[in-house]
Amino acid sequence: MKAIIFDIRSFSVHDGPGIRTSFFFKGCPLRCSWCHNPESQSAAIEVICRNKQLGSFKFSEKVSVGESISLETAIARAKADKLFYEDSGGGITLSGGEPLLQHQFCIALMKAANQEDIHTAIDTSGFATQEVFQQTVAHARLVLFDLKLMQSELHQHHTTKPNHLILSNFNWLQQQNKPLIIRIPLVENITDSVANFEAIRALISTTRNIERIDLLPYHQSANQKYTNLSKTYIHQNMPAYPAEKSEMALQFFADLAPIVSIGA
Amino acid sequence: MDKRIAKLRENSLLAIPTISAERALLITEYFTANPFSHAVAVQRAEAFKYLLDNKHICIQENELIVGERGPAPKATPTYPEISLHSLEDLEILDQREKVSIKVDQSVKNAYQDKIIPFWQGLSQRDKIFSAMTHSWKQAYSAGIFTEFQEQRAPGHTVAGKRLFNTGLLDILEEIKWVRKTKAARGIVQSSWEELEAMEIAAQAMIDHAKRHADELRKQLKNCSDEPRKSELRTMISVCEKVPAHAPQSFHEALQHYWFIHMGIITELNPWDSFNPGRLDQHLWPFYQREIADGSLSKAHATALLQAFWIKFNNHPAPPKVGVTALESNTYTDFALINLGGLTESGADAVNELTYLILDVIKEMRLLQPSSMVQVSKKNPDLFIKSALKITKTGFGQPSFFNTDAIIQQLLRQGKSIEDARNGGASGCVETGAFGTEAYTLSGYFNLNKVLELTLHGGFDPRLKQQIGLKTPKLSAVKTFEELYAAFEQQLNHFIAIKIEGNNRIEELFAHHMPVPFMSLFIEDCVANAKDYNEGGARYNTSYLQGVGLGSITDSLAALKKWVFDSHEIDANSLLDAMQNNFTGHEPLRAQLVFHSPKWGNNDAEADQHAVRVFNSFLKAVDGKPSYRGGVFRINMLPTTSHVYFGSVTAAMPDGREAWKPLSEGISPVQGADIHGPVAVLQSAAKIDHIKTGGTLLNQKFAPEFFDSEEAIDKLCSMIRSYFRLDGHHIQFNVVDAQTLRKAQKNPEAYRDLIVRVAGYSDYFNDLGSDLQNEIIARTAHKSS
Repeated sequence: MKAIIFDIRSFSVHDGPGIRTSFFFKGCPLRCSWCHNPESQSAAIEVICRNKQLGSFKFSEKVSVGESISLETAIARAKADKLFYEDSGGGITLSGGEPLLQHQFCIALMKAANQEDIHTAIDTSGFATQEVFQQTVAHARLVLFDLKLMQSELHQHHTTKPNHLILSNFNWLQQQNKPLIIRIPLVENITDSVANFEAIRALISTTRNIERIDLLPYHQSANQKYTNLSKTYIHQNMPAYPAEKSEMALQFFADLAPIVSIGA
Repeated sequence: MDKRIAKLRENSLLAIPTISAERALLITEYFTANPFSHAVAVQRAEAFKYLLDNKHICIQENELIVGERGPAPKATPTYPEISLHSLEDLEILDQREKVSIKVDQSVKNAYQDKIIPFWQGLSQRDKIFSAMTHSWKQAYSAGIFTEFQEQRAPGHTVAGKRLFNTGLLDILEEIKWVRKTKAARGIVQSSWEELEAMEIAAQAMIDHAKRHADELRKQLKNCSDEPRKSELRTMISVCEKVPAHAPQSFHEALQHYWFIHMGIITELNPWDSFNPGRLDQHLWPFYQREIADGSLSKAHATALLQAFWIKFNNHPAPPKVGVTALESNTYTDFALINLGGLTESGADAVNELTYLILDVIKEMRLLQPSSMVQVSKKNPDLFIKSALKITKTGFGQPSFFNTDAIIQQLLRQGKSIEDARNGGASGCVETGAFGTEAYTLSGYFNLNKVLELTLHGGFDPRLKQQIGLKTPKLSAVKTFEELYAAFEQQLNHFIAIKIEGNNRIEELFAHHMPVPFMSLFIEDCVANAKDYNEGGARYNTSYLQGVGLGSITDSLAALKKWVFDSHEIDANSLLDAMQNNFTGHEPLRAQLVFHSPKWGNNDAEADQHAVRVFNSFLKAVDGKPSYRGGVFRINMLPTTSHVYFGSVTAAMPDGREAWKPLSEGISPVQGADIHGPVAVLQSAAKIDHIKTGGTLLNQKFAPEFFDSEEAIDKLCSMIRSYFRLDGHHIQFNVVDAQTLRKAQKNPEAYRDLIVRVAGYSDYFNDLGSDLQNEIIARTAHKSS
């Protein structure tokens, strides 16, 4: 079994508790206008030209974005840092892109990890069929779930997909006895309306098992990535999300989870 | 910090390092009046007494702990009997841009008129170089190894509990007893002499402390400030008591140590000056008792410790001679205070005083003394986290050491469990049994130079001489195994030369430079009636330090991959590219740099070579007998020698350009670790740290990684994991804005640099320049 993955990062410290190894699966059904990982969108391996420098020698090199890796390789990488997970309360996180697009591989990888007593987390947009969602999430010990826009038309407008599937999957997830981390992107004038915040609040205020809420303020960091991929970025000139507004959002959600943080 | 401490600290920071001719003149006077005799130890002790009886007593206004090696703070003496500065050396020291040491005309005159004429040709350095063989000298000038003892005396030793719980009068009694018991068995003449020398040295220090008491009495007479008068009275009684008697109070313990420290660095210029070692353990009984009975307040204990810290900062390393006067650039004299670890009975040693001393380190923020924390599995996380919070302020201290690994290392070397638990690390990262062991560093060893010679069949392209054995060149070997076999042959050859030289040098120190004063404090020199430099200590270890493990690993991995496995690069084209320093061969260099396996990425293809080189080096050195009756061991640390060794090593197959620095310690080549810190630690843990006497690992981190309690928790657990893998040491280099600017200009050297962006981390290189600039601005803001 193989998967297309665009990065495996050890010492991942922002995608769940402790020190983790994160697997970034390539391919995403959504196209969020603010996406800071444009290389994760296409499910195919892409070849880009990258400018490099060695002293005064400048050259460009063809670089593959994405790699097809075997389950065995993924398991070996998952196991490599086991000791570091143990001491820090970490584990592995399956992220993306949208990992559920390659759910069979995710299930196999999480099964193997669980057998090795490695903590598993999945970071998902929730955009998947109920069957795929439920089958896969069942193997994760922690779910990182994104809540972007509560109104479906707006969701459709900014991410190219409606949110019905996402919300119904979230409803199911609320019934499970599984620890949750809610992630909310803060994008000025898009996700941060009072109505949207209120709707998110209403949705999660009755949810049990929320361990923390991560508020992820928009940042310009992806400009270079879009350029490398020859993609246009409609938010190229959007300034970073204002710190004082992040602080206001923090106050707004502060009572809903034991930890609410800006960034992760 | 109170006003008085702030003032003393400021004086210390502002004091300009100078050379003082006082010691050199006194020692010259003594040996002019007393021609060299055969009773060397006795004469050295008398010379020591002459120094202490006649040197200026410097006590600054408002000091709490007294004693200066020179006539003023940072007035640094020279040791012409060890190495003699030329007038040109003095000029260089005075004029050099960095780490200068000012030399005024009177010092130059003293050198010209008295010191140079007397010592010319008689210094220990002269004796050493004339005793070395031709092949030793050739290898030395090629930059295959350095020699520690050519400018400074052996030392590398640390105070143990004997120093803190014994008075010099007790030691004089012990000497009497040894004399009686030894006489019954009949001992050699040199032992009688050593015992006599020890007595003279001990008495000289008792008298020297009295001179301080006398000077304080003068100050008392002229003092009108009541609180200071009361302080002066206390200080007088302290100086009248210690070091003659064992200390009984916190204040006495600090002053007692400091007198002895002064004595040891006045007697000679031993490496790593001297070191109080496990300070929180030694001072704990005094602290605990006095806090309980109300005779000491926390505030006063803090002030005394701060005053003690300033004392270290007043004492820069003695300046070097010759080419090293130009190159060597640090005032640091490597006294490394140890905190935490285990008690002698194996319990968690962290106590209230440990935390108090951490606060002192944080508040003093001084270059000297250096500080480290010993972390055992039994120590609490709070201890590690408190230390990390100081590290994040970005002055490189404290560093983190694995107590459980240190103990295993010492046990493997044959120490008792108690002596092992009382040990720690000193200097940079060197393992030692404190108070019971003489563990001298003998020289850095340039592993990469040996590989370079191997590639050229034993020929050094820089000196254009056949330096090594004649083994087949790279172009003449067919397999990687053949190449490695040739490397191992050359390695064994040069290590044999180095060890032979070391033993000759140990003998020269034993014969010509006994240290009866230092010998009083290191067990069992007195009981054995034998000098520290002659093997009198309970344990004797001589270390050889391997340098450039990352660089040689990457070179071997590139050679194997491209020349022998894939045959994509032809041996002759590689040698040609190296000879031209890759000029005109840039794509080849890019291939070597960007597409070869690299140490520090938890990549077996690279890491296997590190393990192999480490094992070859270990096998060549470990257990070889030394002159002092101990054995040779290895450790893996460079101090700054990776820069010097780089400067004598041409371009190499890892893509490193000629004369550029090699990798340092066991750290990856600068920028080659692109899979994050956990991968670095995983690679580093593949070598067997337990078979070394210390390894050095440096990790760069952006300050944001220390920002929250959660981040500190993760770093703390990472240290625990590395130590569970038997890693010896890790230090965190918190990058500043200047480093980030360098990374922007020279990205390939900083490929490992991860910064926190917003809610996630990314490689600094991967960010657009706008964002890079923003992070630079943010970092500059945070560290200001």
